[in-house]
Amino acid sequence: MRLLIIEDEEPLAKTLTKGLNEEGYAVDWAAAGEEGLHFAQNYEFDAIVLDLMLPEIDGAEILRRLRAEGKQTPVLVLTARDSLDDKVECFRLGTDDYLTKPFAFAELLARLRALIRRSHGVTGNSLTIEDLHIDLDARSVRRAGEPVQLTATEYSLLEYLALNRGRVITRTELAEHLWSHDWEKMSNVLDVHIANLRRKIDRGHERRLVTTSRGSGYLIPA
Amino acid sequence: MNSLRLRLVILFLLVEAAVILSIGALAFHRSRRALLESLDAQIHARLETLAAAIEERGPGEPIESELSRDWLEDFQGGDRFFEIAQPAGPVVLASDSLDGRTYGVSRGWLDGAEIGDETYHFDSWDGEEIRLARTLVSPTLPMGTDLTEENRDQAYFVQVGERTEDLRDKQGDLIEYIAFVSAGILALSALLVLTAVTLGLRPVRQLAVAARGITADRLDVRLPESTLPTELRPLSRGFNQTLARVEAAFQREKQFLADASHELRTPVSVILSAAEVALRRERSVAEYTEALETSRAAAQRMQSMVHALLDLAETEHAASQAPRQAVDLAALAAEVTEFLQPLAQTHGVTVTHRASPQSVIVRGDPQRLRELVSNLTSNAILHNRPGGRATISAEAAGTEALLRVEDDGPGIAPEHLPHVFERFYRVDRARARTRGGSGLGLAIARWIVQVHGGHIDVTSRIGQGTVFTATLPRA
Repeated sequence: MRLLIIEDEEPLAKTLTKGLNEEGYAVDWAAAGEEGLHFAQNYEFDAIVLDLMLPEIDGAEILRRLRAEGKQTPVLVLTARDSLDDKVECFRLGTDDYLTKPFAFAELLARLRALIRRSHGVTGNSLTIEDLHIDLDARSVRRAGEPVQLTATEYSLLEYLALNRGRVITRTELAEHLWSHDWEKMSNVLDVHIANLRRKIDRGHERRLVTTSRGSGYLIPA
Repeated sequence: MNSLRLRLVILFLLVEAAVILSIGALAFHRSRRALLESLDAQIHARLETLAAAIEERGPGEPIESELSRDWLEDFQGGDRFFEIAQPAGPVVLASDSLDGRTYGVSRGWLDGAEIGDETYHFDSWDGEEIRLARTLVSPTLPMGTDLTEENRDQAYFVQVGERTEDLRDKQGDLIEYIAFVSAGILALSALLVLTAVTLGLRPVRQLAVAARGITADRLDVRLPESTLPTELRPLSRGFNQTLARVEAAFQREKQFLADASHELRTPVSVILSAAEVALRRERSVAEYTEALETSRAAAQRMQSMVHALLDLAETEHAASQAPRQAVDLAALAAEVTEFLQPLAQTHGVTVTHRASPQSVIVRGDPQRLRELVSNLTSNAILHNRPGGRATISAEAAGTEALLRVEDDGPGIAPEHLPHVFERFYRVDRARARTRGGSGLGLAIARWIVQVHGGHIDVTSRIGQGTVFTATLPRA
């Protein structure tokens, strides 16, 4: 999963990036409104964490422009502004969630997960594909009842493929969602992680769930 | 007697009662006179008849032959009498009502009386009040002849008395009538005045109700002005103006509180998330150190902000009470320049002090003035570029002392310039944060200058630099 943080408070952005990276999210950070809007318009993110008071273009304006362009990316507004007017206005402009500073990191994480899950049409906290069971909150996986131990990267790959089941995910898209946008360097790393994921999920099972599609993409069948 | 309504009503009633009393007294007096005059006219007519009877009877004829039976009948009751007598002589003729008794006349009245004299006065008859008319008549002597011992047998004095019971009854009725009408008018007008005053005071009650609706949450309420009577408008206008000032002040404080809490939330978020993220798993010493460094930097920022906030609160509330003493701005500029050298070196900025040929003395709080110079100078350092310069100077100009802090930094855009002294106003938020500013330094500087009776100005050109000039009155 790839997130965009638009936040002018550098220490906060860095801490969030670190914490979210450790939870298996790829994070891009924009410190100002102009850059943030540019990122949000030109790259695919699974969710955007948006501060309101930003240099150049403020958060509400970024939100308004994104929604005006038809960008559906889930947005979580993270701000020190806690007035009812601010909240209502942001929801009116199309935010999906609103969290006021100071906040608990665990809450931010839980809300982001819920946002991403919902944006893929999943309302529960788990996904079941044939005999593969993914617990989205605990980030644990079982195949035919047996626990499967995955690394953070492997889990993220699986989760993304599962949330987008039935759709061929190109290597570019997959990489973009897993790493920051300078993914080219990581191209062969992706292959290694996919190979490991396949080994752990599909080895010993007759039915292969992580399949390769012609045209260098991957797919979990619907 | 604290009720305005009661006071107005009582005052009005007192005045009205006095007026009614005077009018009543006048009316009574007039009516009484008219009644008396009409009584006297009746008596006079009878007196005239008797006088005519005396003057016009034939020689040797009795007086009563001249008087008609009808006329005499009026004297049958006990209401009136007449008596005709010769001075110092016997009664010639009297009405039956006297029952043969002589009413008589005092000698005093006869002395110096003239023929034709006619007097009226109140007297008594059988213990009751009567109106008594007397005249001196003579068939032979001309009018105006003095009555003497010699001619008194040619004269008659005629008396007609009439009981005044009827007059007194009428007067009594008059008083009753006047009293009744007055009381009626008084009661009616009391009611009218009470109603008028109550109606007149209704806007006051409406004002009170409207004023009661004003609370800290509802300061936008205004009292009605145009619908009020003209006399009450200044009250409500004055109140509204006060209210507007209170609302503005309240709004400023609310905004300040919102800004302050916003500014404090951000570093709290940094500390919290740094700690939470660090605690999510076991980490290397280097990682813990980094988290702690992040937290410390944020805590330091909070500390400087809290310090600045307290400082500002103190400046606002206690500045005027600070002891005033003579302070040399030139010496202060040199001192601050020296003090801030380490900060300047960290940021690669050269800070110099332009020496003044003479001392520049102002009266004020030395600690605050030092803070002023320090705020402006550190501002010039923090918002400069590496390799930049900042110059502090103090000079005397007439009755004013000028403290000038110049830098050759990036400058402030014209749209930001009017706002730089506002609390928490930041030209470049992201940059200001990394430089550790509280967003309050210039606001504090302006307060200090204003408290010392001066003003502060800023000029700036993009790419060339900024000049802050504090103008203070010279001691």
